[in-house]
Amino acid sequence: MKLRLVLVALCLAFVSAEAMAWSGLTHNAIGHIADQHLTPEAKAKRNHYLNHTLAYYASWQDEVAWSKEYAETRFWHAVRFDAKNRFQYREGRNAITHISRIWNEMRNGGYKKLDDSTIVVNLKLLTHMVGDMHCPSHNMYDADPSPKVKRFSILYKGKKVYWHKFWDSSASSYFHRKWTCRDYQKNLDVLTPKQIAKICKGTPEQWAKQNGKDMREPYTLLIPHTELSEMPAENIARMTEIVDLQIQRGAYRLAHVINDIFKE
Amino acid sequence: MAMKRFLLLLVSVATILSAQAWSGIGNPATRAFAKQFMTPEARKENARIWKLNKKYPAEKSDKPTDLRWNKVTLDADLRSTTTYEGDVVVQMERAAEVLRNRKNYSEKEQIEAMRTVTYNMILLHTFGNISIEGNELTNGFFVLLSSGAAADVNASKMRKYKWQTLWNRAILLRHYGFTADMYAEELAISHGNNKDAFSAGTIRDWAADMGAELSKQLEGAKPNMVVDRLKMLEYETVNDRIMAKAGYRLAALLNDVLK
Repeated sequence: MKLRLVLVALCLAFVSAEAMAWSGLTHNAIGHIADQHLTPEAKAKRNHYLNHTLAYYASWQDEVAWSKEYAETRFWHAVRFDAKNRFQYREGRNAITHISRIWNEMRNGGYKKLDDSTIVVNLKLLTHMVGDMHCPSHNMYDADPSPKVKRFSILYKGKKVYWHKFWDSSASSYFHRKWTCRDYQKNLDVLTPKQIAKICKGTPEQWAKQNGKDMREPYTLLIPHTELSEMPAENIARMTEIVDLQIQRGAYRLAHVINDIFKE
Repeated sequence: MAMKRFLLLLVSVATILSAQAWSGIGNPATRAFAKQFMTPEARKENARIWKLNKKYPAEKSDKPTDLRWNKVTLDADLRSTTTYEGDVVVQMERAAEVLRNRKNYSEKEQIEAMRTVTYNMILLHTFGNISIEGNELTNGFFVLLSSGAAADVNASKMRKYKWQTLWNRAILLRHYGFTADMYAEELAISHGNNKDAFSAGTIRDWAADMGAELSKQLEGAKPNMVVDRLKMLEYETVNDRIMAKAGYRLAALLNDVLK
């Protein structure tokens, strides 16, 4: 009996040590692709202020969300929509308001009026929030009466996983198994300058409106209470397309915001 | 009986894993960083010696075959004075001499010396492998890993983690999807100006410096202390610095012995 317990404990130790989170990986991939699209000026400023790449700090906001100092940022990760895809302000408890606020505050040389520590925190927040606003589960439709966009659970490897948790913990490893950030960059950073410019056109509010419209589809592709591997192949293929597009949008828009801030 | 054999196998795998210096990315990232600072001459010799190994013609399997003991022993004044042949520092000094006088040694001995120098440089910079005389904490202790801020999470819900393993594995596994060269780029950005300061000295000086780094982190530490997410961010900065030190020092040592 003791032997069995030791065996189980050893197996658990191995499994937990290798566990990976979707959220971290996708954020890092978005940051890494964005890093490749920074102008020389923006890259120099990134190195000066962050002392690291955007990819390195892509999940920083998740790390500090639990601290008292950054407690208010806990509500800056997601965007909620009404039935007409209008994002809900909710007294500033949304990602869009703060992406716009920081961008406006820092652009046109505005960053020069801020102290270094504020610039550092702002860059880390932007890196995470621009990625987060493109995650399907961070586009929420709580105020929408339609049952199609209510949160539900599916089965992943036999375990019940809720909508939000699915996107935060398992999805990327399912859609692109064993991809590193370099793999994401190699496979997804393939758009032409014209296509990238089209993605970056507009304001965070307009990007949110587009997400609000597009992110309804994933809710219809995943079938509630069904094992992921048993869902129709065309649904998974379409879901992969959506994930890839959202990563591209997040990455190119992040680079666009940072480049604009440090434009001389 | 079958279960006993399986258990034995698992324990063997666990032993091998625990002997690794850093998690998967730590060792190759440090080597990738070091390569940026190697002279063309040292880089050429480095490549030549690795190619002598027919089974693993690259640094894929860098662990020395005769690795018996993976500890760095320091006295209470943080000096490395041991002559014990199993000590990381002693092994490195001997291997460095083999590489320096490599014409007098067989191919097999050169390969083994290269593996020892490369691998032990990483062991030298891993907190979990450093033992300081009189400091019980360096023998190992457990901490409670909090998923949030220390004050917000119930202690019963925290995960018990060996402090040394936190440094060997957990910190480095935080950057999901990073490749070794990506991590090397991070080290270049954050420590690109510290080459001379970090690489000066001898192997024993570096051991003493690592003893000082470890002592600083152990100040105020105690078994079952809570390590929260903010503390992990602090640890990460320290870990990056010691990885950069390992990389600069590996390059300096190889530049010297492969002249």
